[in-house]
Amino acid sequence: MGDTLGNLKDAFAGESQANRRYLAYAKKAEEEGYPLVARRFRVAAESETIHAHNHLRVMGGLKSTADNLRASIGGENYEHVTMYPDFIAQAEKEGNEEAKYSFHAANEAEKFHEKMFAEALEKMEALGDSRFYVCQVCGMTYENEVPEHCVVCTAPKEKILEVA
Amino acid sequence: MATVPDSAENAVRCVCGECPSKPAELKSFYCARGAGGSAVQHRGCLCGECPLTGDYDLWGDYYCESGAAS
Repeated sequence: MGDTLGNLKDAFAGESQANRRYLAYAKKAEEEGYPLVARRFRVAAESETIHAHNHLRVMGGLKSTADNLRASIGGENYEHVTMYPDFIAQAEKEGNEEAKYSFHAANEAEKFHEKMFAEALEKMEALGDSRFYVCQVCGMTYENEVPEHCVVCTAPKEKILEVA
Repeated sequence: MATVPDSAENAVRCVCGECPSKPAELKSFYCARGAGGSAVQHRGCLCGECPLTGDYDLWGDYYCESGAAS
């Protein structure tokens, strides 16, 4: 067992992953016709989110919005400049096409996310009221205009939904 | 028949994402990117209705199975 700061970081990562895992499990349960099981997964997911937020706050991971934007820009940049290109290359080397396209889809969206956050940081006090849309198949993100098909996964525009 | 460039301009016109035969995978735009990694269930093919077919003088179908146009 590490020190408490390390434990908070590990707990934050674990609770964050559990949240997304349970939401994915809930979706699967809905698809398989188990709505009451799905509800239980959503309940646990909601609870894990609160745990994760508490751990993040206690470990000092919540700063001013400007600092949070800087941290987010750094994270997104690392993902699309270093992490995902390396992961894509490794997946290609192993001939794992499914993983390659999963990484590719994320990589394309991260480029947009970095620009979105950078603009927010630059124009924080006079930010335009853009509308944003996310492809529900691959996660690609769009501002103001949605193409006929997603540029990454070619899902039809009906699958690209606005995020309020 | 020409090869199809894997460009954003072409990807947004590709109709694979609407196809009933498309395997459940993130890979798409098969005439440019090559065959998918999953088994294809033949439930009809939309390639013949795709605007890219006319633009690039394609004549095939089920590129998700046969691989990129060449």
